[in-house]
Amino acid sequence: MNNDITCIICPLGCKIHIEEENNDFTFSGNICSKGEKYSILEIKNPIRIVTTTVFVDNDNHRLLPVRSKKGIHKDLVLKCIVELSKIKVKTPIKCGDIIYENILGTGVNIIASRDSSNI
Amino acid sequence: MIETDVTVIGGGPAGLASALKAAEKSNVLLLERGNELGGILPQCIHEGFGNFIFNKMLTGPEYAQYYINEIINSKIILKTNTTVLSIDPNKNIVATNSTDGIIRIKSKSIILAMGCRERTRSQILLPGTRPAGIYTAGTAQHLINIDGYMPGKNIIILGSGNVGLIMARRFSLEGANVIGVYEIMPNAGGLTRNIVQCLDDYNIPLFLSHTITNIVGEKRVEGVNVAKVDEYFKPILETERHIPCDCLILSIGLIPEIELCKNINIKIDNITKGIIVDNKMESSFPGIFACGNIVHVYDLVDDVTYSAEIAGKNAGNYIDFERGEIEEIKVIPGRNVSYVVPQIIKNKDCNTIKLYLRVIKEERNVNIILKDGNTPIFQKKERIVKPPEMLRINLSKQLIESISNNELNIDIRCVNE
Repeated sequence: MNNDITCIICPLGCKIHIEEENNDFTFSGNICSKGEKYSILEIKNPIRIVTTTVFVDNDNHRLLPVRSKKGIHKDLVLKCIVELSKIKVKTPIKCGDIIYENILGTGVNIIASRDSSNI
Repeated sequence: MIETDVTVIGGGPAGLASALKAAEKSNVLLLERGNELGGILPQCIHEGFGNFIFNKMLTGPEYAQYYINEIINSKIILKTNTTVLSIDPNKNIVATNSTDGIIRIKSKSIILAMGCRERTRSQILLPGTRPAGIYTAGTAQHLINIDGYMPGKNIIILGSGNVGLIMARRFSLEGANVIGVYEIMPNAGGLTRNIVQCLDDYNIPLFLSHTITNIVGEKRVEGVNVAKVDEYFKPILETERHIPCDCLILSIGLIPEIELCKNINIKIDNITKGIIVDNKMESSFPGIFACGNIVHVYDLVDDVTYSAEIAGKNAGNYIDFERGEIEEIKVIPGRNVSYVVPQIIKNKDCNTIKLYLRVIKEERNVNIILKDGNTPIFQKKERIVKPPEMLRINLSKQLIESISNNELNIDIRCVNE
């Protein structure tokens, strides 16, 4: 486990060191309460929105940008992207349409980031 | 000849929002050079847009989609694949596309929303051969996210601007090996958030105070030489080393796209390299407005949209008449302030004004001090100021009305000074 976190809440970018003992956290480094909250989340469950593209047929574009509806654990981001590189979707597609359900059993859906044709 | 109230040049985020706002009161013509609307947003597939306007983090295409839908459902006349060739001092526009041929446009007011472009290798005099495999970050982004091609396998990135950082992550996720990001300045050029989530998350090293001293390769990039730089940004020869790679990505800054303004007398800011505007986003040329990255390069698209709505509203209301002498307050950057936008405050009878400013160097525990001539009238504390993070100051109506001099000076000073 990485116990050193760079806080991204504000431009200060504090380096925060966290020690955990029986679910009790102690922090060191120049830190505010927002930074404490952020760093606990980063230690316990660091999540990221996954964004990538998938292939489409019958469209002006080769690719459709997609995103995960919710955050996914950061260790699964690359696996998600590999999974999504295998699919090809049929148009027409509206922004927000579900492209891939429950990716890698995370319970998170992948949705389209745009209409397949705007003009 | 097309006659219209407002012509908007550029269909990116600034053009879209300003056209929509202007169309509330006027007839609007929107001209876009590319084959679709959205400007750079469709290729910015990562999330992080719209935190202020939509109160959630959207991807670039999602952010654009909202405005594109509004445009499609509006009465705005849209011409895509249309390039503007010239604007003359009578505000006549000449444009062209493959179906209409030459288009002549007479417009009561014009909104310039052409955005910015990337600096290239020649603008930083990068030495070496001229092989394939050298791209600006935005071009690489287009190749990967829109066209679906990988520009290389072993990547070196020069410059730590936000687009470069975002592309470092994108390259990694698409299976390339990002060897490192090299930055000539002692500080990173991008936002902390991007350093953490694009570099640290993927174990990509960032080398500060480093630059590229040579590009090697005949047909294809075979490698680059990198070296540390001294405090005057001069490469230290003893530190030079060769790194093999097949692709060099340049993320070395953006400059406002002002080429079209060269035939008309519009004042340009020496620092921002963009169009000088007042608080109504009107340029020094009456009836010609500007918004978005053609004014200065914003950090956030939300702020581009805000500036565009101001430009759109005032261009829509514009009536050509002899205005006589108008009271002007010059906004002047002082200690540790690189620039301020808008540069001019006109007509004190306005509502609140948002000032955007960038600092020259990083400082901690500072006050941003506004002075009416020499008298301090406003002060705001910041724990840290950094060049990559733009600062915003909201001026209340009351404060604006109280200004008695024709100069508003802005200083950044350490709290204990």
